[in-house]
Order: sequence, then structure tokens, then C-alpha cells
Amino acid sequence: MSLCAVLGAFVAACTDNQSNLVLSGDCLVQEFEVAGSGAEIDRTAYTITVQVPEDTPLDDVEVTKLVLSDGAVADVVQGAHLNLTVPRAIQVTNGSLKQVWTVRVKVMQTQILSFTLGGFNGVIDQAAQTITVYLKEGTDITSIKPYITVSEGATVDGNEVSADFTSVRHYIVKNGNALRDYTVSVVLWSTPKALYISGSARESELNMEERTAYEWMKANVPMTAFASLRDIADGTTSLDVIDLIYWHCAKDNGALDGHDPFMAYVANAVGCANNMDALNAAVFNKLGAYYSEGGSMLLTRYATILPPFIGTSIDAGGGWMDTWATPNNCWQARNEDDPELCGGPWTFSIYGDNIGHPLFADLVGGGTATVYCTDKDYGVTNSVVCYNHAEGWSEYSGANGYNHWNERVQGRILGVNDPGNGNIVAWEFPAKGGAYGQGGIICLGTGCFDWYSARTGAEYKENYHRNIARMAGNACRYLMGN
Amino acid sequence: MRYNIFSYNRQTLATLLVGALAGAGLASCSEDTYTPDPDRGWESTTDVFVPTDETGFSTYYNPAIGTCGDPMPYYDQKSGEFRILYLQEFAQNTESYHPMWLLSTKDCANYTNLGEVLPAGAAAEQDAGVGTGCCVYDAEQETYYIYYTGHNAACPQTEAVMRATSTDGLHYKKDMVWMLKGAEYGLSDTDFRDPQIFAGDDNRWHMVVSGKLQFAEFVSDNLQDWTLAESFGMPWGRMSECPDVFKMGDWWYMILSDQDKYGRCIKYFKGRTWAELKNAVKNAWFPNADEGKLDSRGYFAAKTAGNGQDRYIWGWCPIRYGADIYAKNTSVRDDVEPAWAGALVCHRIAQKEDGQLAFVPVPGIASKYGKSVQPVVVEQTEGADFDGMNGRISGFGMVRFSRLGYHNHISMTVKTRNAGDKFAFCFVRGEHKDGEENKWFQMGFNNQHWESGKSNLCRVEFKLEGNDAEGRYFDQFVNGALSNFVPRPADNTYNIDIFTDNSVVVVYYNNVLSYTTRIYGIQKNGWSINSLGGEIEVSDLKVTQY
Repeated sequence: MSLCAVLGAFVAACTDNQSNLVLSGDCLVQEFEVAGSGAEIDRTAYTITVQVPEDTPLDDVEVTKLVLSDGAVADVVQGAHLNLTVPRAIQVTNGSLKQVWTVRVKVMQTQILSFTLGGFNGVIDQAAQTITVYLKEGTDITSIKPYITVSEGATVDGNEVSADFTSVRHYIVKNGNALRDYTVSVVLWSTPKALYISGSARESELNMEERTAYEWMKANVPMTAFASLRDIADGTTSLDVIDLIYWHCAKDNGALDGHDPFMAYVANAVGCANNMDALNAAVFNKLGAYYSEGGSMLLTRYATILPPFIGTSIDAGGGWMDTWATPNNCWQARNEDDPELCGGPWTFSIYGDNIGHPLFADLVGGGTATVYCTDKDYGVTNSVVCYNHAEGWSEYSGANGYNHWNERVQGRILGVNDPGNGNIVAWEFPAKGGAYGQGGIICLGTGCFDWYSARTGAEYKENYHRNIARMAGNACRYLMGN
Repeated sequence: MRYNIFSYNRQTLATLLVGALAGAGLASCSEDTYTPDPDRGWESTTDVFVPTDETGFSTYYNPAIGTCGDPMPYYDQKSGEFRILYLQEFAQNTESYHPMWLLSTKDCANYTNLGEVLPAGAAAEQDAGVGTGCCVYDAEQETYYIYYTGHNAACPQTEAVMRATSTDGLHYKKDMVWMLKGAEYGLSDTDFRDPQIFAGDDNRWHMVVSGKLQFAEFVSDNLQDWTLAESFGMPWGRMSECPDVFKMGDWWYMILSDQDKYGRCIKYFKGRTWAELKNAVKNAWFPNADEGKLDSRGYFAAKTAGNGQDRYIWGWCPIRYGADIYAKNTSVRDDVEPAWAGALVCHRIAQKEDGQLAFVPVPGIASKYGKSVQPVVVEQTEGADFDGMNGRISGFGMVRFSRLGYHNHISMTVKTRNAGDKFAFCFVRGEHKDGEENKWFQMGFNNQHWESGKSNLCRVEFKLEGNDAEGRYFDQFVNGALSNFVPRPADNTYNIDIFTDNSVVVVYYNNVLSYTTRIYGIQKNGWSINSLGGEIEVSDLKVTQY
């Protein structure tokens, strides 16, 4: 047999051997929709990304459109139902060709995250898709500019465009083909429901620490007004219809170190004599009556010294108000304009089994017993009001110190400055004769709870500090029964 | 004509190369004058041979490619056969892995592979990795259901229970909507696997799922809509998987696979009712003297199926890795099982009056090994007096026999003189080359264990033994290759059956012990019966093969 014959035989065999493979068609998905929502089709990666509104139930969605290239068939047909809580594959075949496409869902977020009008943040009900903005009577709402933030990737028409809010307006958030229609209404109020109070006579005299807290409250707690202690003392501001009082008492040049300095501060603020009778008559009895009738209070920094003066702590033997159940250790390390820069985030520890307490909900770095309050290079005055637990310090020290605190102060410990131990820096009182929460009092004396920094270091970047506002918001909702 | 390519001599090879240069077709056209190698002298020699396993095992089933993962047996009333779904494992899986393949068998000794019936999902899908489940047939709906595990760590939940349906048990359609997720019931979304369905005495369907350190029980009236009934803890709080629940006689049983590093094996629990059985499981009320253990570390992920008369169990005996047969046989340790998946080993389940279970030989397998082979004694040492089928061995005497085949059934009765007289079988026996270590594997019957409370129990132990080049004895105990403890015979009489299919070895005695393991190299090598210090009487020695 010659070599040529062998080669010839091979050539012949190749000529005769016709392939049965059918390779002429394509296995393309050209159009795809589920539940009426379209998809991005990537013909390189063979992926189909369906964009659906966030309220679409994904565990059973119908394929409402499936268009394939000519001659192709798929193992999923139009009208089929898929569980798209997980990615799904579609096999498309055409003749001898097969291609697997992966279907994924991209939930298109369409939420309004904040809606600010005239410096006031609207109250957003995501389920009802309504926003209510509470503005002071007299505000011109015929032409007012809203500032709106929305979900990542979403857009909203009318942001920063002046509009007339004398009647309800609609703002539609769009993301891909998903959209959500919010109804925005403005409520004009004349009588406040919440007060931010201060030892300063006027808003303009608030120091920056107090002012920052006030600005936050005004923007976020509807129908908030300012009142000085003197306004309350002289009856200019009635507490009759008030649900919530917030007092963030901050000062420079030394701490209000407990019972006596606090009395002196208040007497000076309201212009009365510095003795219990005069102070009771001027202001403590009014605040005591407010508390007794179900009013709630958020008290931070030196304001946390107030509660025993208004009846939170009753002597077990005599039945009188134990005004000396006040915090027994207060200090200020630096003035506001010369702050101490934090070496890292400053924290305090949640006491006992209070990790699930509403005060600590949704905090950055939350879910553990550590509450992060500042960030590296944030400037603090390190102003602290606490019940000192250090051995030998006081009646609240040592193994039985916390129990003694419970018996005498008659509140609930929420936070301490060392894990599982340490000075009591956060606590609460129940509503007078009632339960914790609505009508109660929350006190945050920790030096970590700091609203304003006059100076920050080079490496400062806000991460945990937003927890101050979150805790304040949590406290307000908790105390108002929301 | 038949020839062996390795028998070509140098001249032949040169010719072949010339032919290849001229044209690929030439060689086959040339006249072939070559003769094969002479047959190996299997009967006349006793030197050690290094065999390899066959491609595919037919008794202890192993597919031609890859190995068998978790079996899911059921009795198919329509065909009158046992059907065994299994997870097809390849040496190198792709992103989509462990599709379910299906076997059928009438005698539990010969299998027909019906191919893939449930493919793994695409790489992004929940069932990119298919995990264990079960198959149930709803006669009213004439529908087969496979409930199975979808495993994909890239999905919102690593594991979920999924299902597929079929009208013929061969062609399945996955349910693209239904999915059971542990997190929706406050259970784990990382461990939520191995659904097993059974019909309860309450005429409802029950499904048991392996969650994280607890089993979840779901109930259904239609095999489609499931509600959570309860969760109950796993015994000793150890992760257990592949639960199988069944009723046999008056008893309810759960068989599970304990994943514990040291305690890895299958275990069982029993109860007069399903409620009592659950109590036994969560409180670790063990039914036997060895923590409910069955068989050995070499038998895992086993599940059962019954045909109304007999119940059988299928599990996998893992392959073992190593550079040679000695490394393979010693690679199993008591804290590491070297491989997932292997050969499918079937036992018949025997039930005692008190409800205890044991695994016993499968009649179909015993029948399959039908070719009788006369064992030839090639060596007897001092203390041994053996005539071929019967004899007595005392002290450390030994009787060595000629080579085994690839598939062997060795049976005999061993009676020990005293309860604690130990004995053993040694395999892969033969002379090594001069200057090499002379080594073999000993399967010893330890019938007087030192552990407290176990002196009346017996277990089979495994070790490498040998003599070094200077003739000094050495041994290496293989911790992970032990059987569980079973009762020692009161009359000191052991009726022993040993079945081998390639490297898979299964040992039984007296309907109390089953011991599944691997001995690579057992084929085509000699073996021996050894007395280990006492005295034994051996009778009715038989070797059959196929």
C-alpha cells in the first residue's frame, strides 16, 4: 500500500463525512420581563438582570415576556413562574447549540430618605408613602424649596425647586422602571408639642453645644419650640400641651458638679433665690407637675442632675423627695474652644441585658454591648455626669453599689463607662407611677454624648458620631410612645 | 487477534514507529506475529502483587467514572425494583456539581445505571451544588417527588430545600417556585439540608431536615404544602446529617450520620412511636452499647428502603488516597476521613426482638459469588494444623492461603477456646523482594477490650504489620478503620462472612457485626488466618468468587 493511497483514503473520508451539527442559529434572549418589569440583557456575560420595584414579591413571579432569537427554544417559557429570591438559569437551545443564561433580580430602591422644608425634616411613613412637614404658623409656604434625598440610583423630580405647599403635593421617585409616589403635606402649627429648654434666656444665647442639639431637635421633632427656664418659671411657656422636653445643659469653665452647683445654676437662670423653697416655687414644682401628669424628658449632660428635684426618687422611709439622689461625680476636662481630640472612637457600655433597648436601636456598629459615640480626632470637652462606682468613692460603689442605686435613685441603669462595671453614665426613670417609656425620663451623662466639636483633628471622619443624633431620635420616639 | 501492547519487543516497536511515519493505517494492515506475555503464575507463586481496582464495581457499586455520593434509596412499587438515587461525584467537579444519578436493582447485588435524572443547577443557582434528599411516590397523584438540598454559598442562603417532580421516576422537572428556607422559620440558612420524607402513623407526610445542631420537622397532607411542626436537638448537640426515618415492625427508627470529627459514623435511635423516637434522639438515648453506632467509619451517609418484606441500607465506603496501597490503607485516621463518596455498599437490616438493629449479609450478594474456589494452603507455621477447610491454630500460629480474586466471599466458623482468645485475618500477604520490608494488613478480632464496660464486646481492628529488612517486627495501628463494638458470642463461636469487591471489604459475624472498610491490594494476593496467642478452631472454610 502506498503512502499516496493512504492519504487519498483520508481525503476521501473527510469529504464524505458530513457533520450533523446544526450551528446556524443563535441562542439569544432578546427580550425578558417578569411581572411587567423589564431587564438588562448582557449578551457578553449571558446575564439577564430584571429591575423590579422593591415591594415586588420575588418568591413567585411570572415571566411576562420572553423573546428568543429565531429558532431558539428555552426551558423556561413565557407564563412560567419563577422564584427569583435566588438567581435562576435559563437554558436556550437552537439546533446543536446551547447557552445558559443567568437571571438575577435587581431591586430598584425608590425611597425618599429625607424631605426637608424650611429647615424642618418631614416625618416619613414609608408604608403609606406619606410625608408630613410641621412648620411654624406664619411660614410662607406658597413658594418654598424642598431638599430631598432618595435611595441610591434613584431620582426625584422637584428636588430643590420652589413650590406651593398650601395643598398636598406629589413627589415621584424613579429608579429604572420602578417608581414610588409620595404625598407630601404641610401642617402649620401654633402651639408646640415639644420644648427644647435651656438656662439661656433666648435662643440666640445658646452656646454651640446646646445650639447644635436644639437645631437637631427643631428639624427632627415636629412642633418643637424653644423655652428658657425663665419662660417656664414666669408662665410665658405653658407645659400643659407639651409631650416632650429636651434639655441639653452644657457649659464651659468648670462642671456643674452635682446638687448644689446645679441649684445655683437654675436659681441664676430663673432669677430666684438659691434655696429649695424658692426654686420649687419658681420652676421645680412646674416641671414636677409636668412629669407627674405624663410629660416625658430627655436630659443630657448637666440636665441629668434635674430628676431628683422633680420627684423621681422618693425616700423609702419618709416618703419625701430625695433631692440628694443626684449624680455624685461631674467634671469637665476642657472648654469647647480647646477640646481634647479623641485618640479613637469613644464609647460607653450597655449595662445588663439592655442591648435590645430602643435607645440603642440601629446604631452604627450596634448590636453589641459597646455604644460608639465619637470618632478619632473628634474634639470633646469631656464633660461627664455620673454616679461614681469606683471602690470607696460613695454609696454607689462596690459589689452592692448598683443595687443601692436602684433602691435610692429608683431608676434603671442603661449604660456604664466600663463593660459590665464602672460609673453609671446612662439611666432612665419610668413615667410617674407608671412604666418605662412614654412619660418617662432618659438621662445621658456620658462624656461621649457630645453634639458639637469646635475643632477636629486631621484624621477626623464622621462614622460613629452620627449615633448621637440616632440615640436622641430613639429616645424621643421611645419617650413619646412611638 | 488479541495481543497486549506491552508485549511488543524492541524490534516490534521499531517496526511500529516506521509504520506510524508512513501512515497511521499501515500497522493494522501488517501481519501480526506477536505472542502475548505468558500468564502470570498465580497459582504457583506467592510473591506480592500490586493490583489496581477495576473500572467500575458491580456489587459494591462504583460508576466507571467518579464515585457514588450520598445514596437515596426507595422501593419503586411500579417497577418492583429498588431504586437508588445518588450524588454523582467526579474527581474534579465543576461549579455545578453532584447531579443525581439513578440506579435500579432487584437483588441489591447487581445494578443498572439509569443515568442522570436531576442535573445540578447553573453556577449562580441555589442548587449549583445538589445535596442529599429523598424520593417519594404519591400514588394518588401518580407523581414522584424528589426533595433535595440546594447548596450555594453565593446565594442569600447557603442551603435550601428544593424539589422536582416526575410522572415516570426517570424524567424530572424542577419546581422553579417552591423553596423551603430555614431562615423563614427562625432556623439556620447555612445548615438546612437533607430532607427526608416519611408517612407517619397519623396519615400525614413528615419531612425531617438537618438544621444547625437541630432537626426540623415539617408536616404536609399533600406532599406539596409544608408547615413547621417542631425543631428538636441533635444527639449530644453534634451536627448530624442525612437523617432517615422509617418504621420496621413495631418500632420507629432514625438513622443519621454523625459528622463529629472523632465519632464520625452512622448511628441509629429507636422508639415505639415517632414522638418517643424524637425524644430518644434529642436526649441521646442510645439503643446499643456503643452510642447507637452501626458498622464503621468506612460507612457513611447511609439510608434505607424496604419492599414490605425486607429492608436494606445503602451507604458509601470512601475511597482512600495515598501513593501506594500501604499509604492508602493507612491514610484513614480517627480525626480525618480522607474522601467524600466512594463505593455503594448495601446491607440487609436485621431486627431483634428488643428493637435493636444489625446489618447482615444481602442474600443476593451471597448468591452472586457462586464460583467455588478451593483455598490452597501455602504455608502453616508452628501451632497450626489445617487440612484445607478445617483445622486448629494455637499460640501465634498462622495458616496462609493462595491468592484471592477480585471478588471474593470468604466464609468460615471460628470457635475460640477461651472467650478472650483473639484471632485475625491478614491480607495482602506475600513475599516481598529481597531487601524490602515484608508487610501486610491485619484485621484483628479484639474480643476482650481493655475499656471499662467493653470487656464482653468485640470489635474489628485494623493495622499494618510487617518485618523490616533485618527481620524485625513492626506494626501500625490504623485508628480510623475500626468497627463499632458488638456483643461477643456467648459460645465463643463466630460465623464469619467476608465479602470483597475490589478494594471494598465487608465483614459480618453472627448477625451482629458488620464492618465496611477498604483494603487496597487485597486482590490477587495471599491471605492468612492467625491465632493471636490463644487457640482457635476453624471449620467450613469456603471461598467463592464471580
